[in-house]
Amino acid sequence: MSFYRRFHSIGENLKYLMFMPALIVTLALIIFPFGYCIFLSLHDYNIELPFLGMKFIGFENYYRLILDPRVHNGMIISLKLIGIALPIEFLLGFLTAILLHYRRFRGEKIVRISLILPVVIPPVVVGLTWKILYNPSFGIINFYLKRLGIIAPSWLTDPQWVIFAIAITDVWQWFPLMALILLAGLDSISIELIEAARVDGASYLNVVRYIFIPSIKPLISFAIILRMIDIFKMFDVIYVMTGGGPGISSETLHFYAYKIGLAHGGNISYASSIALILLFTIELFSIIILRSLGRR
Amino acid sequence: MKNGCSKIKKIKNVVGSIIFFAAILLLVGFIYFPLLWMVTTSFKYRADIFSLPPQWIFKPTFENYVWVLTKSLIPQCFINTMIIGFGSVSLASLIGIPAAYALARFKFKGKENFAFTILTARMGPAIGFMIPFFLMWKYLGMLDNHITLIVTYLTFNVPLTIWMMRGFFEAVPEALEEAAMVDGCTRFQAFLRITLPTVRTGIIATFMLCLIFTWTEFPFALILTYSSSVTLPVAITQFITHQGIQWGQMMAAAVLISLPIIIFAIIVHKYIVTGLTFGIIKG
Repeated sequence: MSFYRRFHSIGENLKYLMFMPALIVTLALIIFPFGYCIFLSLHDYNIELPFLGMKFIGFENYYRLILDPRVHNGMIISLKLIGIALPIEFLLGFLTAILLHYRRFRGEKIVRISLILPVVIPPVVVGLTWKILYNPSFGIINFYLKRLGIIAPSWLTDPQWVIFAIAITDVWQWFPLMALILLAGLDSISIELIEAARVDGASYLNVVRYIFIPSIKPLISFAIILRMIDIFKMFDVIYVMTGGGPGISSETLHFYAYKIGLAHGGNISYASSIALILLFTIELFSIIILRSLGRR
Repeated sequence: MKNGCSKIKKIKNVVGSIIFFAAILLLVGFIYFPLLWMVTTSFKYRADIFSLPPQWIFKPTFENYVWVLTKSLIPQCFINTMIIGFGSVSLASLIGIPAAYALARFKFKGKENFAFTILTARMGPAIGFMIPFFLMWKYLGMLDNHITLIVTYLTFNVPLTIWMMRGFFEAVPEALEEAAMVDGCTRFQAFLRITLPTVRTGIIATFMLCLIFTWTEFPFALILTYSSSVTLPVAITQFITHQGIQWGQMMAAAVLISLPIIIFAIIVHKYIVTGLTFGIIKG
């Protein structure tokens, strides 16, 4: 009895001691910047015109944001990217997971490790590599499309196709993650269950439909929301591939905030208000994601 | 009759296998095709890069690599990235591991709120942190400094460390520490001598994962550095010049940047998915 008291009472002081550095980091590097962002968003401040000073303007930045056509444009582009990339990513990821789960084979491990390569390679490198592939004059994609008799668009400079070009790059980079998440789910289904269903005469398609999908449903929604968040805040690939162009036809909300606040324009307070809107949207998704997995 | 039946079954199996491996081949092809093009471009002379039809077979050259290693900023940036990466991740481990242990073992108020708050740093859009960090470091006169990036990267390295390590600590039975304490250890000694060595695989995996994410980080490095502490992902964008893009050199740099990451990733491949999903999914 006394032992248990000791076990827990010593813990009392220790736990704060062990926790303190992380708490300080959180306060200084997460809470404070967040508060500072709110503070900025309620002011008018331009870093390129510092002599004008900082003026409190209440919610004016937010009113401006609601009416700003480039904010609408950014929202629509993010939604388009999600609408195009996410279904393909999911479908490819799901098929890949099923394929790799279907049977064991030599080289399986190599294939599984190959799947992590696109995921870990710096996004900047991925963007630049695809930029070569898409090049309208010497790019390999257009060369073979032309050979097949397809009139190929100049992907990155055509306002209509630039979203597809970015979406395809995103699919290449991230469908493996989708596959690996779903595969982790499939691997945890007991083999006896699948075999029992097979012995009872269920076709493989039925096994997929009645065993796989229901048991990995939470993972599916997790993976989809995770990818939604990531596409929403995509930055690196857009920066190197198009810089938001041509014009503003690949300028997501995230990229617009960067452009107007930090790249040129210097309107950092207005950019903060956009950043906060983004943050709240993403936060909403993250709450859903965590609830769906029951880890609160 | 029986013989014929098994023959049909055999053919069916062979056809199934062929379809299966064709699908696998397609998958692997799709993954490697851009990577292959990146690597081959890096070994090409300028003329071969621009030639049509695209050259699959060509006379290789190391000229791009020699240029990148001797005449570009890449070697210096490599050192910068190493210092910043190891600095930030080591610091994050020192801060994050004890906190993760506290979260895994002790009860306290607002524990889950804390865990959720730190997650926002990983989930939130970069711009939400870029703006305040830019102003803060500018105010302190510390733009373009190694320490700046080391501290800034704690923003996502500490949360990742905490979320990953918490899972590893929770998997260690508490009885192990109780036994050590019966033998006269204090709680902290039990943590240091018993629990930490038990989770060393987890610590290494977490360390390398953080290193991978720090190595590839782009937006913060873009706005917080401009000359003396530029990291690799920012350095590579400097091959896009006003005269055009130096594709050969750029792809050589791309290969050099990606190679260490790929090696790290292969070592910790079991934990990559866990890391990318904040420890939620055990790969």
